[in-house]
Amino acid sequence: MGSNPVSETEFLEQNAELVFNLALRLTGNRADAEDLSQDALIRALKALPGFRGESMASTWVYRITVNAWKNRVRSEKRRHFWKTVTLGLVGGDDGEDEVRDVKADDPPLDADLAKEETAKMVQKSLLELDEDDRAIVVLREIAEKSYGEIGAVLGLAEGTVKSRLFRARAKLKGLLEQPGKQP
Amino acid sequence: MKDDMREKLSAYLDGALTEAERRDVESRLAASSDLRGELESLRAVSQAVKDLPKSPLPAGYIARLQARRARARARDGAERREWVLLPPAYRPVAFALSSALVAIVLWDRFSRTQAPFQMPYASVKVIPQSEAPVSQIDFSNRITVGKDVSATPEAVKNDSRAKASLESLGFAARRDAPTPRRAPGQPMEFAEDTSMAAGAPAASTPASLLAKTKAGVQMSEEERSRRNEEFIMGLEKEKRSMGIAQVLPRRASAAAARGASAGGSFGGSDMMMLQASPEPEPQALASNTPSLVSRAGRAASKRLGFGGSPAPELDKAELSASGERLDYAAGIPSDDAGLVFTDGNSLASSWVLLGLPGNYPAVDYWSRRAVLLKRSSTKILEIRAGEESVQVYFRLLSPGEASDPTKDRFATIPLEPKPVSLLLLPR
Repeated sequence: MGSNPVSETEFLEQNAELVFNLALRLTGNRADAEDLSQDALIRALKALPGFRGESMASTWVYRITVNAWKNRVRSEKRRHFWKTVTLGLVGGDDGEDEVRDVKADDPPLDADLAKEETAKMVQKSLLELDEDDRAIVVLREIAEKSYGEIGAVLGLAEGTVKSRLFRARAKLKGLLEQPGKQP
Repeated sequence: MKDDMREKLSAYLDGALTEAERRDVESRLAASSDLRGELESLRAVSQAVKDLPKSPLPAGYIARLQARRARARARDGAERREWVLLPPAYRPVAFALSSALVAIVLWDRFSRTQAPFQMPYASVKVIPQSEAPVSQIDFSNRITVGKDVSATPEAVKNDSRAKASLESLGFAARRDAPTPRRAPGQPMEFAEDTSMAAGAPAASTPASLLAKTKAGVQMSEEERSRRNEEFIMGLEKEKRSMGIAQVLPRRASAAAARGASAGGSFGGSDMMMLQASPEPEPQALASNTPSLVSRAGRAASKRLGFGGSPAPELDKAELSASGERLDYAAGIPSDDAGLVFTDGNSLASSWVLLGLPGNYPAVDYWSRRAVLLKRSSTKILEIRAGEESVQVYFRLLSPGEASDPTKDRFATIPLEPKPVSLLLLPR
């Protein structure tokens, strides 16, 4: 990307859908995906005049999105921690043992019911990965970013991206091979 | 299978190997079915994620985004405007500091002095004994009657012994003030002393001033000032003529300052008010204008029974003229009356009104109050005021007998937060 300024409309046309899909796979539902992607896009638009085009705009906006998402997950974890501590102190628990991802009840992602089950299963397995693994898999498989670009988004060396991506895939494979989770 | 090899398979899948690595991996894949199986399973996992459906933007997504962006801009603008004043993190500190400052200023402003000025009579109430509030506390053991000024209620607990001490030592001996005393036998009353008129500066007060005052004619500032001055001088003369020692408040200098300023001004307003009312003894006033003040006070004191003799008939017109604020129009018993002291101003004004001798005492009446009830058989000679108590010097008057200085008494009245009625009677 050159130094030519990008208009906001152009920027949104090029990136909004990509960012939304990235957010959809990171969060696992459309409501949170819209919230997260809009948050990231508004931040990106605010910073757009200062964007110098040293990286691809998509890489830049992905980094913003992933960082915003990680912040949300962290605050959600904190909230859940205090909720658990509080409930523990008063002698009760709501039965939620693990940190849930930001979810909401949504209609099915896809109309095609045959693929829907598989997609659900894969998405569920994705959500069981930790944030770093999930981000690396999503950036590679959904956003189709190269190792170098993934490193730029996540602030990692290319070699680290390579080994972590392998590890994440291996975990995902294990999750998908669990009974009732055959892709 | 080594993880190193599997990692390479993962990278091979992504086309992320160098040419040499790629050739190495491919040769190994050709030789190993396990490796090929591993590659396929990794590819299946990768493909499964890749196959997740892409979603178009939800309807209205961009419109919602722009609306949200507008809200965020407005919020950012508001925050930036607030930041011009102070960063939010510092606001609690700033609030605490400014609150403390305000509190200090208010404390400094109001903690030292009471309200500097109150309307005279605002809290004065002249009451008959029958209407005096009855104290729920029995003060008979707390009121010290004795001779020694420094006597405290604790020091003199036995009433009979105190009385005996008083009688034996003679109260009059206490008075060593160089003020002229009346000859024994002469009634120590507010009797008219015609000798005062002669040579007194106030004697030169033109009768026309008085007439003007009585008629309610407008006087010039100078005339009013002169008249008031004469009134005050007359009061002082009257006091001296009666041989009354100066009141000695605890803070003499402060009291002197107050007496000079507040006492003067209140006295002036008192006098004007009394003067404006019909005077029952016009002849006496005309003949002895210098002591108009004390005579006016005397008139009041007589009406209220402070003269030591049965009061003359109440002048209803006069009472009603001043009764709006003083509220004694309902009728005052002929021989008993009282004062309620609730603050220095009320004390000062009632002091003048009732013709009590001496300067009014400086008493810190912030919340304490004392009700002084005086019988016609007693005469208040002097009041010494402290912060915790008031000492009242009084003389017992026997009807038909000459005033006897040996019958002087004093009573120490503890000031109480609630009204206390005190009867100055022989004990």
